[in-house]
Amino acid sequence: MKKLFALILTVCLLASMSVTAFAANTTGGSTEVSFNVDPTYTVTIPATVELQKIEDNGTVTYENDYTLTAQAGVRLKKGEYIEVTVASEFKMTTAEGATLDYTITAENATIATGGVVAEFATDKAEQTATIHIAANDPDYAGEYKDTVTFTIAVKDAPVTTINFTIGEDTYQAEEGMTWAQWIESAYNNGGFYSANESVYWGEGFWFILCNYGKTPSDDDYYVNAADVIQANTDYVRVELSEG
Amino acid sequence: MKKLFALILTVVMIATMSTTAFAANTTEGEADITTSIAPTYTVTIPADVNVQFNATETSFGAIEVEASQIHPDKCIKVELTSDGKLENSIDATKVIPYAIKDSEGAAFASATYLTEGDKTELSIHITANDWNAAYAGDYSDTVTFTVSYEDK
Repeated sequence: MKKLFALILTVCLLASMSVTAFAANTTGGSTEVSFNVDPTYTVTIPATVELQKIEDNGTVTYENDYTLTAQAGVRLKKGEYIEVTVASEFKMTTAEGATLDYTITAENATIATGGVVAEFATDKAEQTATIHIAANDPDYAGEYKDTVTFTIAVKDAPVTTINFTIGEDTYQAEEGMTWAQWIESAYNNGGFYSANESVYWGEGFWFILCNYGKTPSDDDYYVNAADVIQANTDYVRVELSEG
Repeated sequence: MKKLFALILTVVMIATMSTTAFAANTTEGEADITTSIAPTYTVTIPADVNVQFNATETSFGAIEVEASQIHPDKCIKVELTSDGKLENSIDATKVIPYAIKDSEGAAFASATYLTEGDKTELSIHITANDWNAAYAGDYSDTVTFTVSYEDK
């Protein structure tokens, strides 16, 4: 009983503790704010598709469409997308051993096993991709069936590389890269660096990067580290004393 | 008491723990592609035939599969039923015996078929002696062809 009472008293004491705040003349501080948003997506694959008989000018085929759906709210990291591929031998069989070849086409292109049948991007809206499955009229009657495997993978978007020149030197960057990103990347093999929103180069003396054809009186004379590097564009290093 | 308190604290701690769910980078799903094809076939059988007087062999047409899409373990069976006697139209007791044979000369009773184009040529055979013994008059008979879908 005594111990329980002591415990209760301790809890009450802790709950009532307070700290006195003094107003400072000048104070500052920083707080790091961060949060994590996990990528999410839902891709719906119908469990079955039954080919229907189609007769056209005496020619019989068995066909149907098949729709893959990315539910509304696909959210991936920037630069990522969802790729759906299909694995199949493209042959239906019956219990009696009859076989029937079929094809899968996406956007009018015949798909090979492992081929891509759909791609989805980050989007708040629902996305769909429809493929077409078709077979000729077989020799034998029967219940034909095949099982295919769809693989859904998150992929990085392919990178497009651009060229640009600084003086007589040619450099490369990824399309859409800013100077600040380029400086931090492996593409910067020229020793460029950034400070105060400008781009510099130095080998014992200071050079600042400028847009070719501009003059110091132009607002865009100096390259800004936040600028996107333009493809097939000339840039120029200017001695800082001249800039 | 201490142990009870420690236990309660432990339970509370575990209850407040959470796990974060991450979207997997790769996942798989299966789908079945199916189609159902019902068996169909078309078989033609001989039409009416007129046997010329004293003809010992008369063509009787053919049993032929015009179209066939059947199960691989099935066949089309055609059976012929006949009493083998042409009956006189005035006196049914007056008959002329006949036999229906295939192209190899064997008496035809039944045959099985699998694919389009399968056929059996038939002919009607009456011996000279039977012609010679026949009374005058018109004679006829009806044969029955039965077509069925059977296991091989």
